[in-house]
Amino acid sequence: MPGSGPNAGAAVMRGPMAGKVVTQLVKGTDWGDLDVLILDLPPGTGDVQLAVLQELQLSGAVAVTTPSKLALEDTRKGIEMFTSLGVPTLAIVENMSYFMVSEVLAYIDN
Amino acid sequence: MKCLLILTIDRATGTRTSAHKLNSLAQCEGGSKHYPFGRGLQALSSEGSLSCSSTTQLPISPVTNGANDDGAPICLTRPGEAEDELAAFQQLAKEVSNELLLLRYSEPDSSGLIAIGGVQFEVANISCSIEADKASFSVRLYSESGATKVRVPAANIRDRDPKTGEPLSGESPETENSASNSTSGDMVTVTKAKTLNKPRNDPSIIPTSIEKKGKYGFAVEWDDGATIIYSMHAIAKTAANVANTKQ
Repeated sequence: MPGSGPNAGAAVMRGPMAGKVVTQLVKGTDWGDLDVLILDLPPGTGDVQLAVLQELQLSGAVAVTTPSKLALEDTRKGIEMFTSLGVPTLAIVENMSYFMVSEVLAYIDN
Repeated sequence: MKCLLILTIDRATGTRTSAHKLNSLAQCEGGSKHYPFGRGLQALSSEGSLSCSSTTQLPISPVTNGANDDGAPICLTRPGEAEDELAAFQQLAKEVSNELLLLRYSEPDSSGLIAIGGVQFEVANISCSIEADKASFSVRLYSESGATKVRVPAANIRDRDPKTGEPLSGESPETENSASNSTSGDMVTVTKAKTLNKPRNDPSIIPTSIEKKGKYGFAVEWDDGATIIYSMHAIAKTAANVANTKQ
């Protein structure tokens, strides 16, 4: 499979093929007796997200974003897509949200 | 301290641009939170423009950065150095678990129910298949007290709005034809019609296959070449209409 293995190169795939690879991975794997299966999806609202939403009965989604306005706008659209296809967003995680400066006065220059 | 902060931001984002953003901070008083990329979710939450109430904020920190580099979870390698991060993950796990339990065991609201003969059935749990005669669908609906099966003529389904389940009789077939080979914005309808010169509810148009699509609908392939995804709500509403009319 493109992009897999320890010495893998880039997975150069058009959207429909990426969707089929994800479907094959999820449905063709014997996952055993699981309590929870967590899928880490690429960013956006593309073929992979649509394939997962159409092929699986997802319980819910957790959106992961950064604080930038552009990222938040994409996140809002992603949540809207999942909601319109019957999958609720359970929580949103904001990475790189803040940093703590402790004890000393810090001066940051060029 | 100065070097450590710059290094942390730079490595966390992997870009020089973020360092430039950091430079906009002239001085940082000790012991407080700083938001180098803006208030983000906090701002959206206060505006009320988020449809999800549960938010978790993870800080930029040397511990998180180290975990990204070596791939080892911070809860296993350096739990003592990452109190803020671990508290955030714990809060996230708790909130997601609560939401999942509520989704599984709480009663659906009125928008998720459809009434047939005074009994409320859950829209999200319906199943749908094509009858052997190909002229109708078999729709099964479930409630807390039992289940029912409704035989819905194929023409009835075909003559409904795929998203809302409202009758489409007012529109001409040409309207549908013009939307062929396209995917609608709400991703509920996909039509690949070769020709739709017959009336939409012509009984001679029969379904050839049906497939469940995620948690939102069923894709029906018709013998005139059209493939339409009907929402659960549209199918349940049509079935309820047929059942209630018979009663």
